[in-house]
Formats: sequence, structure tokens, C-alpha cells
Amino acid sequence: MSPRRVVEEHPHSLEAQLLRAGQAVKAPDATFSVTMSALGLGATATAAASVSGTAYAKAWGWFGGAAAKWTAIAIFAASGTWVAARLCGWLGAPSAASIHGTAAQSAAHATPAHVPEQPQRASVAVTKIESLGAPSAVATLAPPKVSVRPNTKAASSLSQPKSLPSAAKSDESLGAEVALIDAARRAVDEKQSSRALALLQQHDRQFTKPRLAQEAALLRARALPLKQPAGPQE
Amino acid sequence: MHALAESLGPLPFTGVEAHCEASRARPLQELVREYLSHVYRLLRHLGVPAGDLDDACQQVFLVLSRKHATINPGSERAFLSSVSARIASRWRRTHRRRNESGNNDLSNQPCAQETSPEQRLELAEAQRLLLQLLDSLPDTLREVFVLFEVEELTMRDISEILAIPQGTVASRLRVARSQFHQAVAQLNSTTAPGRSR
Repeated sequence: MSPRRVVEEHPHSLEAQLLRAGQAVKAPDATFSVTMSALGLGATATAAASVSGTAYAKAWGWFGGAAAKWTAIAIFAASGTWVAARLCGWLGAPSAASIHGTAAQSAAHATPAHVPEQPQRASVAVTKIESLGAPSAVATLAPPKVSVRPNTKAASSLSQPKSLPSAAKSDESLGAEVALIDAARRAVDEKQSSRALALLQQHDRQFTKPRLAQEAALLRARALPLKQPAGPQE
Repeated sequence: MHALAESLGPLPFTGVEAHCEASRARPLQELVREYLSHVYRLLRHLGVPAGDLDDACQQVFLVLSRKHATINPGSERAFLSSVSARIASRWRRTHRRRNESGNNDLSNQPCAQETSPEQRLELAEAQRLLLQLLDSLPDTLREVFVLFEVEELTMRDISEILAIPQGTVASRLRVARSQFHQAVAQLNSTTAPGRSR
């Protein structure tokens, strides 16, 4: 007999909540597109090569046997794959082969569009993770880790070296922004509202188009009540 | 990819008799659409870093595309779980060799539109915490725990996917639950005094 699952046995426990959060993980749309393009490219090339090879062998009747057919299929498969790879290069779409090879490159040179929003939250959970001896929030958030989702922008950024410095600069600015927000969050956690508000003000001044504006607003909303003077002592 | 499929060894849920069912095999695109999230989630919880998830997903589905005609209809989910577990295992070994650390960021994943930013942040934080706790489990226990508690597979399916007896699944699950529970309890005990201050 199968034991009951934690989410059924203790539905309101922290364990169940964490497991439910894990069950809510879904694949991004970009992953679907990339996977389909990787699969679709191979299938299309093979099918086209098979049809073309058979027709070619029949039309010419070379050697009149299966060897001719399979030789022709091999030739067409190679040429079809080459053409598809070239087309992908021209259109900016990733090919099955290039996805693997350029994954690290696209991660390194991704445009800001590929940079996911970093989770910024002064929550119990972060404190909990840190208390477990895990790397601090700064360590996990500060490096602007980008998702490896090659798309047309990534491909074009790879093919245009001129855009690389701007991407790198953008990554740096995101790292600085994350560090600033994280410092503000720690200040809020330590109930140092003045310091937190100063840091948030610095964030506003430093970043005219902030990517973590929502996080900054949330922190400001948490910091402001802390600043208010306490009521009359009883 | 031929090399990859061969290196994974004989996979369950395939067989000669399945060739007869090939005409009833579902289109590959439909399978990708239906099971991509399952594969993505499984790979992530089995320790594949967020930055490598796309590559790992592609590997899983490329194996599926090669074995598509030989998979017993209705066994696709179990087949994909089996391939995912093997690929994740290999990924973990590779990363340990390279001494790399994974990134627990799942914040780029889609969320329901009706959720507020606060709820989304909470969800991302909970997911990050879950990954942190799963990292503390040994690989053998982690696989069983994730397949049973997160993916909600049956013990029988898990035993076929991991090619281990059901008794072993049950004992690993018991130990994994105990360790996970202890980790969560430790989490609560270490943070509670800090929060009450």
C-alpha cells in the first residue's frame, strides 16, 4: 500500500507549502520554442532527405538497388542539414547543433531581455536559508545569472560583436542594482529605516530606468512605517 | 544524440511489441506540449542548474524523438521521467567534477496572471527554499522523494523508473521524508528566535 503524500497528510504544514510551490513550477514558453525547434529541425531534415533520396534514386535508377537510395539519402540529409543550419543563421533562430554550442555564449552575452527579474524579498525564507548555512542572498542574487534561452535577440547579439559591450555593461548595472536593493532589504530587516530609505533614494538617483522598481517600492513601503515615531508611552 | 541514447542504456517502457502500436503513437509535438513542464520541473528538482535546464530538456526530448515509435502508448510520462532522472544524474556528476554550484533561481518561470507580485515573490522564495532543502538530501533519496512527493507518481511507477524494487523505494522514501522533515524543523527552530526579536 502506498503511503499518503505530505501535501495530503499535513496540508497546512510548511513542508506541504514548499512541496506545493515545487509543483507549481512550469516550463517557460521559450523552453518550449527552443525544444520544438531542436526537434523540428532534425525531423524536417530527415523526412525531406528520405523523400528526395528515394525520388532521386528512382528517377536515375543508379545501380537499381537500396544502396543507391541510401547513398542519395545520406547526400540529401547532409545538404539539407547544412541548408537548414544556414537558414537558422540567417533568420536568427537557434539550430539544434548551435543551441548546445552557444548556450554558454548566449548566457554570457545575453541582452537585458534575457535577464530574469531577481526575486527580492525581505522574507522569513531568506533568513531561514541563511541560517541553514547556505550562501547568503547577496551571493545568490548578486551575480546576474541569465537564463539560457536562445532566441532571435540572443542570436543577433552573438552575430553582432558591437552589441556585446552594451550587454555586458547592462549586466554590470543589474548586478549593482541587485546589490543596492539587497543592502536596503537587509537594512529593513535590521529595522534601520533611515539607512534603508537612504539606500532606496540612492537607487532612485542612480538608476533612471530601474529594473527592480517593484522591489524598491515594496521595500520603501516596509521601511516607511518603521520610521514613524512610536506612540506615547503608557 | 545516438550516443546519448545508447549511453543511457536500455530504457524501460519500450519494447518490440510497442512497434505494433506505432500507428497509435501520439505526435511528438503533442507530447512535448503536454510533458515539457513535467520534465522541466523534474530536472530542476533533481539538481540540474537553472541555466542548463533548456539544454537538459532538449536532451530528454531528443531521446524521446528517437525512441518515439517504440514507447508503449500511455507510458510516455514514465519514460520521460526515467530519461530525465538519468540525464539529471549525469548532470550532477558532471557538475561535481567541475566543482560548480547550481543556481536556484526559478524566477523566470511563468506565473498565473492573476497572482500579485507579492504572491509571485513568495512562490519564488518557497521554490528556492525547496531546492535548497532538496540539495541537502543524498541523490538516491532525492530522486525517490521528488518523484513521489512533487511529481506524485506511484511507488510502482517509481520502482520501474529507477529500476529498483518497490521495497527499496518505500525504505528510501521513508528515510528521505525523515531527513526532509528534520531539515524543515531545523529551519523553523533556527529562525523562530530570530523572528521573535
